[in-house]
Amino acid sequence: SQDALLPHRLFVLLLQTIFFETMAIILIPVDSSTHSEYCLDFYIKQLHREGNHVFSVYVGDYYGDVGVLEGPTPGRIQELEQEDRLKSAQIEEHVLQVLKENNITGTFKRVLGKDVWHTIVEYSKTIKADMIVLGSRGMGKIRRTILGSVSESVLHHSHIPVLICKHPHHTSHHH
Amino acid sequence: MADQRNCVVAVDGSEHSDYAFDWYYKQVHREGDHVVLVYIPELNDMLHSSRWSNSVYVFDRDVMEAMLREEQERIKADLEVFAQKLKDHGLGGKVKSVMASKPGEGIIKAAEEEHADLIVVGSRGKGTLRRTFVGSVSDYIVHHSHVPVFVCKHPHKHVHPEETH
Repeated sequence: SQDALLPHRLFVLLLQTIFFETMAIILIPVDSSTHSEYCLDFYIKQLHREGNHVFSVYVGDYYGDVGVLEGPTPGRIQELEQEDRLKSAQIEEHVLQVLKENNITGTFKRVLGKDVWHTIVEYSKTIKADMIVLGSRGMGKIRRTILGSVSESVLHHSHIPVLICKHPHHTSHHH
Repeated sequence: MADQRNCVVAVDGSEHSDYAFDWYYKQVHREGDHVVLVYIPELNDMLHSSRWSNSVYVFDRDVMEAMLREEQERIKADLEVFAQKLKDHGLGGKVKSVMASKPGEGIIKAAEEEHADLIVVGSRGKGTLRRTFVGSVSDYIVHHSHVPVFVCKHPHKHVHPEETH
């Protein structure tokens, strides 16, 4: 998977040689949740600066470690992977559309990995991101915590500044 | 067009909060932003401890008053440094100090009072405990804030906690 990210790295190097002073590389993990939508919107309206380049990333469902006797059958796994690819394509279309509408240079990539937070942090290092912008939670159904597990872990392990974007309508019921 | 934003930046004089402030200025600040530097001073434990009722030691009244005065002077001096920072960067805003036993609570309260649109904080401050990747204050703020929070990780000071097992 390192080879797959080589074009990205070269691209980043190229951008950096051209714009070395003025651009910041922003990593925005996305999914299909409302939090992700709000987060992207917040970045565009409140944080974006001319010259910044946005790398959006969708961490796809990972089925690589399923043993032979456990979990879904290989056939079912293929179906699930295909569904995820379709989902990713929808997210990609939407994100690139929004970026284009706002004249922001950006890319989208689907990356697979066992731990979502780890994948995001590693990707941030690969693209040499200057900051990570993510929502306080994503698609997770469990609402027992104030901060989703991915956001929590990315915040803890990131080596670069992280913006935790709180969705205003979803933060009023905690105490 | 966007209204004036109220941006709260938590400061304590540490390198981490200086980095957070610089980061805010370079990456977040927009013309017209109202910047509020919120300072939660480290209070002299001896003066403000709630454990004195059980203590055997009794301090001389003059000594206590001298310590209090010293502390006030120190806080005033710190506030002036922060105010100067705003001036040096040509930022409109103010410096606010909040007394709170828990810095995180103080910052959240100040952010609410100032109707903050976002909060910027370093990942650690002056604290010496390095058991976690993220300090307790920034952690508290991220969990309790109702507005977006920027946690600024100082690149050179990103120390890994020691393995305890």
